Amino acid sequence: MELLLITSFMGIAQYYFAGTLKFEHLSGRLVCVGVLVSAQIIVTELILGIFGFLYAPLLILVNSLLSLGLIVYSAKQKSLRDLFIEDIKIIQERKKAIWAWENVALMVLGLFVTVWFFFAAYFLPPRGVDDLGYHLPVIYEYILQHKIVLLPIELRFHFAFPFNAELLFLWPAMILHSQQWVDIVQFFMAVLGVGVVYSFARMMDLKSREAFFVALLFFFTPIVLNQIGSNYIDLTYNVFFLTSLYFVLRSCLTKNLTYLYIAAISTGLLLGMKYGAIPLVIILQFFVFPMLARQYRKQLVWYVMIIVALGSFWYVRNWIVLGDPLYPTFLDTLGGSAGNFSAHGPISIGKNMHSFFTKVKVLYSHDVGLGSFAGGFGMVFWGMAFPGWVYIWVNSFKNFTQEGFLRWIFWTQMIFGLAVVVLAPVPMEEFKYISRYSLFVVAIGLIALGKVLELLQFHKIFLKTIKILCIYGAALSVILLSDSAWPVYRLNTAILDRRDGENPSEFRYYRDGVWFLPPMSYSAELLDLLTRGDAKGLSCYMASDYAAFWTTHIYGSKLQNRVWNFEKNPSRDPDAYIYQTLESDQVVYIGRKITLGEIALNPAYQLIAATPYSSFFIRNEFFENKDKIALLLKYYEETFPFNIEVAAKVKEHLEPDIPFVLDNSVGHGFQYFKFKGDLQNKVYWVPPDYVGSVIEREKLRVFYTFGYSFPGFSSHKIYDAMLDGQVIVIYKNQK
Amino acid sequence: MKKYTPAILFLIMMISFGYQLKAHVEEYALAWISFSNFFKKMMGLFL
Repeated sequence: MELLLITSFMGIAQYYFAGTLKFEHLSGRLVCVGVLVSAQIIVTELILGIFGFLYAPLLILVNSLLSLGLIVYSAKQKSLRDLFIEDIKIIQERKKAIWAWENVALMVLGLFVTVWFFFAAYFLPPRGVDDLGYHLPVIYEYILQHKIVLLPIELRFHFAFPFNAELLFLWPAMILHSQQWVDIVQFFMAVLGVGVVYSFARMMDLKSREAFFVALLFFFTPIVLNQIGSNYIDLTYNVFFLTSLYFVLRSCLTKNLTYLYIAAISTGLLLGMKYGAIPLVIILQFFVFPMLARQYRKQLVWYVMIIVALGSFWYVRNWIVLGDPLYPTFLDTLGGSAGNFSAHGPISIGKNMHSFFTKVKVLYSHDVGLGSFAGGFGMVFWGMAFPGWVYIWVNSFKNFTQEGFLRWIFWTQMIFGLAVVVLAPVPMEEFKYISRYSLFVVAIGLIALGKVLELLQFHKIFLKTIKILCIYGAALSVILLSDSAWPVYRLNTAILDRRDGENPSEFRYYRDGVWFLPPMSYSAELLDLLTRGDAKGLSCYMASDYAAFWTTHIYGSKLQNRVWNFEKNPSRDPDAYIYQTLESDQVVYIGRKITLGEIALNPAYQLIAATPYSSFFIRNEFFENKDKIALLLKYYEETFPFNIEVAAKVKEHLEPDIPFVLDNSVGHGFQYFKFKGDLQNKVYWVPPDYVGSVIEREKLRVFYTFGYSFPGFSSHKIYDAMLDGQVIVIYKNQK
Repeated sequence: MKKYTPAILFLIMMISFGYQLKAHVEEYALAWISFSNFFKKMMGLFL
């Protein structure tokens, strides 16, 4: 509730303030409100974070005061009521265009998908690859340490990237102290994107009806829909590129200072979001700067200063701390080492040029990345908008007045955007991850489509056919979400759980995902379940192979836990340990090297969840609390009923006081009975390869094993248990 | 030529759209199956 209140208050204040500025169009003003609210959030978080005062109450207080100040200032200029009534009148004048049949169809579809997004954000955990690897852990550390910190770059160089966009995710996470709504932030960025596409379309002389239609189509671009539910920042970054482009072109066209300063704010924020913004901004400024210099001589200093103030923090930080403002060196990025995603190695620019034509062909015919947050411009773009753009761009050469030139600059951004995609120095197998960097080209293509629609206005049959196919394409993009793996939007399990009266940790739904998410789900769900009611949870150590070193789930759904590896001076040893080797056996240790063997054989900890490639240990003291045991038992009952059943049968055949040593998933079942106080045998549940070590450490002379007899002991079979359709023999081993 | 521009543009768009539809028909068909299954399941639950 407080999140809704403070954000709405800021929105109203900025709306009121923007109403006092000089704007020709309502749409441009509303886009400006979006930019200013984002700027207020980012700047206040940055300042409080730099000085170590990043506390939610202070953040809310500062923003409330700022907003109040804006309202007081604006009230002296204009009445809020008058402003609102004026705007409603403008909207009413466009009523016919807004309620045109094609726009209604898209709005109905939009409403449906909006509900879907809100449900997904509420029920499902953050689940994108980079979200879990670095986008979110970074901001969670800011929240927990109350300052902007640099996480260990020996784990990921990505921790040194600019993080202006992530500061927008920090906003709900910090105020709610929860991960629950971080996946809805980019929904509002998509809405801002719709606004800027509409504004551009109007600037290109499109009628309201067509402008609104193409703007709505932007929302239904497959990659936009896929990124809305993720924390990949390409959507935010590309929308900010569009707002920068819009305001800077408007400032050239109209000689209006307001546009110049809003362009500066937008460009500054953009530069602080991604290194990739630098070439785009340089190219854009190359075209517009001479014009700006002519029109705004004195004010240009302010233009540059605002850009520097809002965009430079991350670069200055890296320069001071790492000796390289563009860590891990911009030249490396161009050469490929930071441009590629896995271990395929850098690719030379020459080799990249060789695959240029293949990439162009693949981009068009495969719509690379379709169905994921990595790409997919959609069939409306490639099928209709792109051919339309070719026609419009060729025609843009015919008018080279100042206005014509500015329009040409706009249309030509498509070439730069697509060039970034096809010239990026990545090998062919990683090409599918690239198109997201330039999703702004979709907006340009759609506005070109709007121009073509106006050209066809006297050919009703053509016009209607194209509009119907566009709506069809938008509906297909929505349907595509059902099958999306990156990120998953399926709500079946969550809804079924709620129907059954369950309220599991949201990390249970990692199991509906792909790649490392299902094997990670067991420890993620259990850690959260055990700690989510605690004001101060556990400090958890992680050791993992590089690719799977994802830490978002460790923080817990209410950000109650700490990642021990990221703590600067941890006051004590970790409370819990997660070990995993999901892709390779090369384990990365951050902070301190604590091996699996050390913990597996340490009687102060016990294994409470495991898969063949991961182990989750918690300190014994934690289970002195009866409530925690109850939660653990409930988790076992819901998650491992079959293992409990097997353990129940096996324990009937055990002699009391003879310990049981095992290294497989039936351990969940034995732990269940042990914590329930319903087992007379001591259980040593260890990760694979540690059975021998525990027998040696405990100097066991007689013990049971599950599935094999232990060498060097005389063994005999006591029971045949069924596990995963296979007969597993229980042995009694003795010396 | 100008007279035929709308028709030519329309034709190019139709061909291009058709090509895209054909190229991705499998992805969309699979997605449709997931989508309709979800709704069937939900209808079964709540109706």
